[in-house]
Amino acid sequence: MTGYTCKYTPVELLIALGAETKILNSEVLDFAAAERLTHTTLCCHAKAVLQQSLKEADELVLVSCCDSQRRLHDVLKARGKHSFLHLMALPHGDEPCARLQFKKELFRLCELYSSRHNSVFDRQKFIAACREAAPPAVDRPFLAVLGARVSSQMLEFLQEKVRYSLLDLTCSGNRRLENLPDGIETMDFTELMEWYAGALLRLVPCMRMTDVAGRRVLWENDNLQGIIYHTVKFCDYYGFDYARLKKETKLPILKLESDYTPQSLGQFATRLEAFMESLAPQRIAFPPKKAVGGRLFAGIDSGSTTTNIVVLNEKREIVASATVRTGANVEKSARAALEEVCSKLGTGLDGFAAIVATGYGRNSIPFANAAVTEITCHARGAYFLNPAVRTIVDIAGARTAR
Amino acid sequence: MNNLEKTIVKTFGNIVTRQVYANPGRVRRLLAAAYGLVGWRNALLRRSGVEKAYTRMGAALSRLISKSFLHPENAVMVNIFFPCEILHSLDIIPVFPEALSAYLVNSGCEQVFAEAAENADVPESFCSYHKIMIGFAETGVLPKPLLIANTTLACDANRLSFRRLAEYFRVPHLVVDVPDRIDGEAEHYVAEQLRAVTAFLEESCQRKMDWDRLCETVSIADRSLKSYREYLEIRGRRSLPVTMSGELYSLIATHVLLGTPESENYINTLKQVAQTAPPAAGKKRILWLHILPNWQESMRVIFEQNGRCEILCRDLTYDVLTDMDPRRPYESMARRLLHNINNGGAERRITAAVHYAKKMRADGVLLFCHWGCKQTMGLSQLAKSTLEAEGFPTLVLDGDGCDSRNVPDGQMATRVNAFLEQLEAEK
Repeated sequence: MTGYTCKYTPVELLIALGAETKILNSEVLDFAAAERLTHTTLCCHAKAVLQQSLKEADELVLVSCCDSQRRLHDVLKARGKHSFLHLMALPHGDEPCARLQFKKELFRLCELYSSRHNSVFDRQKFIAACREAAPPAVDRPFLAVLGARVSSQMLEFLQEKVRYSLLDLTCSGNRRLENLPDGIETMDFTELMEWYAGALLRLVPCMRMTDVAGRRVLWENDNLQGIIYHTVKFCDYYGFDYARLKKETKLPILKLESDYTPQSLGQFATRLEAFMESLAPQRIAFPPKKAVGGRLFAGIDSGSTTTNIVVLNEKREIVASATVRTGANVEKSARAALEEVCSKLGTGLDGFAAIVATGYGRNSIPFANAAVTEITCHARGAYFLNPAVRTIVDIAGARTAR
Repeated sequence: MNNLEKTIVKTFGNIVTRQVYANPGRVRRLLAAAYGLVGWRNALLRRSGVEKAYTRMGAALSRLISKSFLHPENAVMVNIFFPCEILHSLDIIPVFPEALSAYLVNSGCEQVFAEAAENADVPESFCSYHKIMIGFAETGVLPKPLLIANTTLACDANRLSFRRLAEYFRVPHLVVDVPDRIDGEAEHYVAEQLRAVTAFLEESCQRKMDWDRLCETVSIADRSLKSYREYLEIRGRRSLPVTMSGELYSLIATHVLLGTPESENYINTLKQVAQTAPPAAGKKRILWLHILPNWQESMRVIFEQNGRCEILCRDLTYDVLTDMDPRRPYESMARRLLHNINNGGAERRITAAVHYAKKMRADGVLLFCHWGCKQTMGLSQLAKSTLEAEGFPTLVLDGDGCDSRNVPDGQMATRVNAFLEQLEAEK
């Protein structure tokens, strides 16, 4: 297996030379070994690849796309455990001289790989792989993950959480080769590599390239409903892109930063849910007025330490509230809180027109009509109390958020 | 720095910090006046030995920064590796983050600019030199330059901060792409880009490049680099009271100011002083890799005042000391970029470190991991193991060359002192 990390890697050339390629994008449990060989503040993706490569030394083709990748190559080269390890020099633009430089890099890789494996370039395989790398555009509403590369685990996690199709348009995911030129079947190897070098350099630019104006196509798309913007801890490139993107689009954006360990994912669930609520506000299915006798509305915040309930009347006035310890049983504590306000108001469950639950235990309260994230609740509640509020600090038992 | 000087710097820093958002124009004038004054004071000081070289270079640099604030229409923002022989030949003032940020931290006012950048989504983990420069520009203190020109050598920060600032100022942005590999085609590629930069500059500043002057500038650069090589030869056998700020001046003399009479005079003075300096004896001789935190009092005490050790030189200064051919200025400048030890893999930089550690008779090596510099941090352990295998004890020290917020001062001093004790115990 030949691993690679960057979208500018000539994957189709490697396939034509007989390689079985795989993008290295997996999370690791820790960086202990990688940090002993580098530094704690090196890009977490580079550290994750290093950590894995120390155990599974196979073949690796890297691209000099950033300082961390260059150093990843240096460290692995010094160890000398990989059966094939190569770093390609990537130009910063696609002008003729840069294409010439990159074509030479393709020739060099081809020569090194062929002599190592005693393989020859298979033209038909190359053309087929290039065709496959040019998928059609999406013609339905979708969300995009932009920014720095995401781990395969995180991408899967995101796809599970969102209600739209999710496209990986990050620096390593957005890899669409242009259409093949006419007469490709009759081109000699040099001509093929000339075209291929240009086609790779004309991919939608990552932030490492000099001219990044072409990145606009990533967000100028009528079907795009929102953006999950991802940055990797200790990778600086995409903080700059995010700053620019915020100025250029009015689309809803959720910014997430991960560190290529599984710990990141748990923290994202609530924020993703809140993001989805903001994309398509939930219509709470209240029972018809005639069907209920009550005119009271209750909100239950089931937190990790306490469960709070607040009751409003039809005039939006707070008429009762209560706080109980959550304990081990979320439902039981929610019922206890409800019973306390019922006793204060002299009513029962039938006195309520609707009950909405929030907080970490929100999905475990069966008598609630709906469950909404605390992020959305905070935003609506703060706006209700004072529309000028712009920042909310949530000091909670399980986690503190801003 | 005595207590009175510390109080003055602190007060000055507070005044600047308080006014940055309310009146950036006034802050700019204040800094221009202060740096201009420091420049004139240094020019008038009568010093001997290395201090003579330092005060002269300090004067030149202070006045250069001051002039760039007062005449931004004639200033070009560059990175430290950009071949400024082109600018000097066109009488254009270079502005660069390493000097700006070092001056701001030594003026006690860098934090407000670093925080301004972070508030505008510049990552906290980004190189502090570039971060402070971005904050300095986007708060409105740094005036709009004529244009921005940088090389892709040597790090990611160049690619990000200069592009952002070109967009912010709405000025042309010229990028010289430096390939990792060295061959004739790469040299031609870079030389052609440098010619294009010259043509663009000629049009922008309405001045014609005088070929003879460019050749003369490159000739001065060539003489200066030869002289600096000779200085290092002598330095390997002698002891000199160099300072951390002095090493910053040497970096600027061999880079941004290379090709100017000030740079040549500075290097020649250093060489003359070294020739009459006492032989090396007693003090531990430290080869420094990467940035020097010249603003940090605890480090100055250790490396300049305690008499236990001396800094020999640093790798950013000897990164490329090749000959230049004045008859082929563009190819010469291109070669300097390609052969820079920071270009390409870590091997070049580490091999050079071993070479200079031997040549300079170093007792130990200090590798400074400046906050945000991924390429130096990434090679730190590789360099340490290679240097130690060659018999040079190496300390990897985390710190920051220009942002005092990122510095565990006490921990750094303890680690450096322990390292010196280790070196002292070995002989």
